[in-house]
Amino acid sequence: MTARAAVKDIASYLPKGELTNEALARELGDWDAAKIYEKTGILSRRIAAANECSSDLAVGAAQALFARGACAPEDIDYLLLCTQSPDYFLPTTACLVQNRLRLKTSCGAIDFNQGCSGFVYGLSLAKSLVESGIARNVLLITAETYSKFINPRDRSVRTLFGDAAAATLVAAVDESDELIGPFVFGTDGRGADNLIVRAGGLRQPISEEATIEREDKGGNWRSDANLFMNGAEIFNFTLTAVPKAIETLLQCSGGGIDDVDYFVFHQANRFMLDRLRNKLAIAQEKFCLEMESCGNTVSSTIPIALERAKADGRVHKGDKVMVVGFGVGYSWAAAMMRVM
Amino acid sequence: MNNEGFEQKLAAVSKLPPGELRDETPIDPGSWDSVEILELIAAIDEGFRVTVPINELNGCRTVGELRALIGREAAAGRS
Repeated sequence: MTARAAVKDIASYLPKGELTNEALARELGDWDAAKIYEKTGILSRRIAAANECSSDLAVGAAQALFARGACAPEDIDYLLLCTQSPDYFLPTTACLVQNRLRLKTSCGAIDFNQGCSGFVYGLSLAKSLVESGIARNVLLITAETYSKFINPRDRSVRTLFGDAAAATLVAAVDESDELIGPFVFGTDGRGADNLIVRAGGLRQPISEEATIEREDKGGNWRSDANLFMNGAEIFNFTLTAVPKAIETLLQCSGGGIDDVDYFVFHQANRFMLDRLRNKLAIAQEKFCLEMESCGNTVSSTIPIALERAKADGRVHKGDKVMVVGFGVGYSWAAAMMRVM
Repeated sequence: MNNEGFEQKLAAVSKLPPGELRDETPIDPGSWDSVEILELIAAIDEGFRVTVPINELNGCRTVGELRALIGREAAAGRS
């Protein structure tokens, strides 16, 4: 029997620092806490400490996964680490995490740079490694500290993003049915400028000019070294690309919306998810909203939502779940998966 | 097409009573805040099943120009 890849377990890690709507309202002045919640669906976000980086969050998530007994560090034979806020340009954060977790030195370990579609991309890579026989136990970690890119005076992103990591064990199981997949992917680099940190790479190194803060017409301040998001363009892209991707995925999987037990989309913000759910006519009770206590954690929103949905009984073993990631790039990906 | 939600949202962001929205009524998308623009995009999407390019929306100077933009996008099938 061909080994099938399955998501065996998920654990997340949130940094201890917290940014509540009340604290934001005191700082930003023109929005009160209730209005921030109404517009975003977020009550608070977790923020990494100044000396806390993606590798620290990644290690915390993986240790939580191992503590649950899903597997031991020595069982892992491939580490996939998704981050856009690595500790260093080089070496890869995956190498740092391999060492700190004491994963075996015969373990493969790579970073890949994706944002909100990163978990679904990671699932596709992990599945391929397992079902091709290259690895039996793949540790997929998503870890971001976007807060380090965010200007404190930029309400447009500060109200949304939080830091987090999630560790997912994708392992070989004896099963004839496909447990992860099919997948649908999409890429449109014309949207690259709409969610970007311009400075800090080699195209525009950090310089005095790159750190000059300027006010936009909405009253938000940022420099080229800060995260910039054109919310209207991102919203337009999402309303256009995501429904088409889902339609294609349903065609590939040979079913309709009603054949899916639960939907876990990238938890961008409640406003966007409400519009998508309405447009796709998905029943409210089958649609995950899981961002109140941690905000938009980029590539970790989907695994955090899956972990919590399983823990509180919103999804059960055998359920067919659709996961959809979309955002920076533009990049998007959707997949079906069975809950184990 | 259901444009009731769109008309209400456009009136709200333009700070005008809905009954005063005529084709020649001036609008200034550049002065709308980012949340208001998102809400208008959502209303257009829900009412007309189209998404409008943001740069073209920002270029509209009257209600009639915005209505014409939505009509063009709908005719082009951009949903």
